[in-house]
Amino acid sequence: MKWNLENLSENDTLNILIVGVGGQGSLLISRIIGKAALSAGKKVTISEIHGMAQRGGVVETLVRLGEDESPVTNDIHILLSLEPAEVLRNLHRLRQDTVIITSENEIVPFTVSLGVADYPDISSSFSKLREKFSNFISVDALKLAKEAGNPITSNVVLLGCLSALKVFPLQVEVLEETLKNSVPSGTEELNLRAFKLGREYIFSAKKKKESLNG
Amino acid sequence: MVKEILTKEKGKKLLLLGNEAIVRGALEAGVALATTYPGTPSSEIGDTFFKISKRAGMYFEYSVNEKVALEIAAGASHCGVRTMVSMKHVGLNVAADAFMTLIYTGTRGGMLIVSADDPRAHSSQNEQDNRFYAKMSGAPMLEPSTPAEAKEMTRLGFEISEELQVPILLRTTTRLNHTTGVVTTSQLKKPKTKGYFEKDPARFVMVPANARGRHKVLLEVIKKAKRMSESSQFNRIEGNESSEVGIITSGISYTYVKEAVKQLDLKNVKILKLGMTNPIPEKLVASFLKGLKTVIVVEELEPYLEEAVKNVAFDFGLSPTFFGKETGHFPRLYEYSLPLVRKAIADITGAEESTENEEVMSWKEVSDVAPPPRPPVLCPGCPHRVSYYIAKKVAGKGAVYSNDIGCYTLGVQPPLKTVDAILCMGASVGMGGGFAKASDQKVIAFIGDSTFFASGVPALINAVHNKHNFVLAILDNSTTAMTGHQPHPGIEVKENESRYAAKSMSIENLVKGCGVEFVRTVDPFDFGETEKAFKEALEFEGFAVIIAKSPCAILADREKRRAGIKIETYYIDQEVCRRCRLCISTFGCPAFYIVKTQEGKKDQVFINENLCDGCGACVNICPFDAIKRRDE
Repeated sequence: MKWNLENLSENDTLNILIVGVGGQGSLLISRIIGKAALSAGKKVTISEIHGMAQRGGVVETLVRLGEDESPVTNDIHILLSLEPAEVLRNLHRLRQDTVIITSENEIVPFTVSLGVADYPDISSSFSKLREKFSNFISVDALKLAKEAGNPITSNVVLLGCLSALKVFPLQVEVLEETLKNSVPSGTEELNLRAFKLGREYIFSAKKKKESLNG
Repeated sequence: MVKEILTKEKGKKLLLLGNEAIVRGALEAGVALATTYPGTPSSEIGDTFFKISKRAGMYFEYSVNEKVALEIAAGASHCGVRTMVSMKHVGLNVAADAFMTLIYTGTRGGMLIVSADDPRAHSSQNEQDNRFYAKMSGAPMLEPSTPAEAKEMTRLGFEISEELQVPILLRTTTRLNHTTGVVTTSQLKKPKTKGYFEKDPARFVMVPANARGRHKVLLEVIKKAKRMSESSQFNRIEGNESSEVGIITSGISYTYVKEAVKQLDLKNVKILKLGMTNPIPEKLVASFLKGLKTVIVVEELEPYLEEAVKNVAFDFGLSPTFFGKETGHFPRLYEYSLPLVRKAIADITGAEESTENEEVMSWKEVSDVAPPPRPPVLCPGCPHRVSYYIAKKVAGKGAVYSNDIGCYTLGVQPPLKTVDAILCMGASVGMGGGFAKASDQKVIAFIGDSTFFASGVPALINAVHNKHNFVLAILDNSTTAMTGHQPHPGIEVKENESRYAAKSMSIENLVKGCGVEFVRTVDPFDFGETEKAFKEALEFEGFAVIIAKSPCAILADREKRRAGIKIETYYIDQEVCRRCRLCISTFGCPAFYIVKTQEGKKDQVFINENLCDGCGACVNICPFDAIKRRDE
């Protein structure tokens, strides 16, 4: 069995779990990955649960790049979380070598406003997660999205982050092309800027890590 | 997507949602007429037809409910054209009356009935297993495992239907409907939209004498269907023929089995993948069972296959050891997953599951508090919240709130809690009568506009006729909001390039026409009028109807954005606010949020102006006039 990310070969299926809250655009980015895979001639299966998502619920998408087609699995290689508390919710499905990319921008649900639930202390949780996972990356996606020109592009910033991972098998040119064709006309440049900012963020984070280790 | 799904190109690879793949399959079979009543997880089938039907040269309609949808498809099929009707699993309960006799008359033009089951009840009131409808009726059934197979089964399903002259049940589950995969196109077929109804009373007039005759015919059809099932391309054996372990599976479970066997590296296992699961191909099953020591049956929900294959084993005198639901290796509850199936197969076969990374992590290791639940809530600006708030203010906690299926079911959440009973579509009205007859409590039944048309009307007529004494509030937001804003008979649909045109019907006229004496139409955002209407309705001796009419906030906001109209938001003047939190504890718009202050001081409440829809309803809640419009 080759469930480990390190041992994953080209023929193995790569599993990416994308989680977030309704309205954040996680379905859009999973579709972009899917279409890019199709144009790259790679088999892809995307399974989504978005019951009542428009009304503030959790949205969850599993993207499987490769031959395997099971729509529900816990063998998650990459977790892309559009909301920080959602990392915690999905922790039981991850493994030590799962790569985690998460937004730092909190969306506090109404259960917290009502006082029936608490919102976790994200910075403390994240520093513990950094110790547990060797590949844990958090990003202020909102800041980069604003820098790109519109806070709504946070999801595309995170797609950019994902694209910069060494294990992510799709070429950046194919992704950019698909991105352009998948967003409303007139917003192509904006989205490409957000994508690039996300990508560069990972590259600079990697450099920082290397210089620290070196 | 619209352009893609209509591509004339053969052999093209498309990325399609399971539901879209079903539509493509139907188009490749030349479907001429399709009907539906929307319901998750089937809705995208209808929504896709809605967008493309005109360009595809076929007819599509959102019917008033599943029963009518099925009857229309049946009538058209009797004329010799190909038809499809799609619905969620519980929709087939509504349509079952028509379905159970349609199987007697049979159909002429190929007809597919799509049942979208919902294991785990992601968005349903139960997780019934509709495969038993196939068994109960005798309808041949197909169960796809992937979007690609769903497309093929749909396409060929029409041919099976025409050969057997009965409708086919295409049984899917949420994970098929909402999984996107690569689908390779076959040729599109031009639909034949007109046929001719050849009269044949002995076949189509189901009076007792004819029904008895047709039941006999049906048994012959089932025999023929069984022969087809024995040689169907959708029923196949995979793996090492001489294995002593065999796994029998169908539908989405097949994908888990296939991957689990691969991951566990089981070489000495064969799989019987059943795609046509009614009638069961008994000879094929028997030949699969022969020589096996161990048989594992993997299927979600009920032991449908498990019981069938045990019967086959008995009939053929075979006695392998069966593992499945009865042995407790597989649950009868909820959805399956790859880890669940892998573990069970490993336990049964003794295969070694990887022990690496076995440690299951938990949020507890990194946080003092659990990730907060995110239950779906009524949107900011939702008119239902206002109706509920006012009704509860008038009727109080002790009243019985009989409720129904739709967005407004979310009134179950605190602080509104105006949902005391939910059963099925339209049941709020019928149950309302029961609550009123058998208790002295005040009763308010709530029903949405689409649900009212779908199945509230007969109960309303009954309430009038039998002099029930309760209040029915029809929450009219002029759309079928929960399933994705489909039109219904209360809404006019203007014809354009992709859509059909449809007329609108006045709910008020309909209610009055049924003889309801107390009918009041109000805008729920008019607090004074609405409160007065609920008070008077509750005082009224007899059956009273309030129509609370205001458009769905999602649609209204979308239109505002399109028209470039700015949303005027509201804020809480912290100087005026006394921090009583009534806005949160009684109204509960999700745009409110709390900021904790230092010990001993009450928390502050703010409005998230990114979420605020500018409806201004909360101004009526605050007793201290602390909520103000931003631009005033």
